[in-house]
Amino acid sequence: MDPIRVLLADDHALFREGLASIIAAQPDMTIVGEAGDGLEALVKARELKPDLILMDVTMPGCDGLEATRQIKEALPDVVIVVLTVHSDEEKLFQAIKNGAQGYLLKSIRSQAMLDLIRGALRGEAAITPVLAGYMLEEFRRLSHAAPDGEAFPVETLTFREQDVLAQVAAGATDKEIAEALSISLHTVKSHMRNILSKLHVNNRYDAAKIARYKGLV
Amino acid sequence: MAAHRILLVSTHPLLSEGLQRVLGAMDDLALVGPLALERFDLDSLAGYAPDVVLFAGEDDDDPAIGARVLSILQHAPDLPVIQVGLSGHNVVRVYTSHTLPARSVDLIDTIRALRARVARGSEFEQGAMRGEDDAD
Repeated sequence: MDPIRVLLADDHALFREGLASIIAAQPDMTIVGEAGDGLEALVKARELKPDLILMDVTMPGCDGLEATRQIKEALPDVVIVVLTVHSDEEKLFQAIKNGAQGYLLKSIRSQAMLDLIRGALRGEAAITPVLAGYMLEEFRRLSHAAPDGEAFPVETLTFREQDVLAQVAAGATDKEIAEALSISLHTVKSHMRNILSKLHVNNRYDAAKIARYKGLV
Repeated sequence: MAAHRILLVSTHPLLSEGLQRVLGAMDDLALVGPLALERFDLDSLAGYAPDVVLFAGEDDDDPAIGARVLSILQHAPDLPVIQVGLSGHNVVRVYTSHTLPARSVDLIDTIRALRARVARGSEFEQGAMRGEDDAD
């Protein structure tokens, strides 16, 4: 049987070399290329047409999430498994939306990683139990969202937006929210725009009323 | 020629295994250990007699690794320590420490032997241009 052709995309050269050594030692796998950023991954994926890409998220220039989206658009059959240090659910959901077949944390042990990526090639989801829990929670959250267009669809907010809304309802200013959640003022304002849009209200006071009504504070 | 003995101390299994495979393929390097970070102490240095200690962890600024690096520099000042991490800069950090006789002439000679940063201002900028500050 032909070996699984693997492309590695990670900007950390030392980690990538080690990973290549681990995969190259597998009898059913071969490394066909390595890329140091998302754009290089896209170019090499088109050129080498691998069976599987192990994709880092944070890379200079084009990151792994955008590279995943573009590669899946160009090569729908290639299996992409994200391998990252980021455990936050937003990146996980974005990766899955962009076409990744799995999302693994670099803290995983090599044997578990290899088992999961072999599973990904069989169509299984390569996701560790903790991250699968995030996905179930998201599914549950979306399932509980009012199907009939409830007046105040707080459930459609992301967890982060709900955090911001709870702060608003407690009377915090944007600056105080930024400090409390350790995010930039710009990010707070971006979340606020999304919250107002999703709740169909025009100002933070109405949003705060909804938050109190829905028991967020 | 005797191989360099590298004691690998790790908090990160995948990074550790990759390093073992990469370094283990070199004829002039001999890996000893590896040890999990929590099993490392200064007695390990006597037991393994390394020429260099290599710490590998996810967080470049892991305080638990930092504390052990400091203890090595204090207790075995001529033993180099290298740290590899995944969270920050795409670099390895090399720590060395040396004891000196407590005489002004030794201190002054040592300072003079170090490269002057002012003269290297343009090199720092060039280093940044080469992407040495790129985060993972």
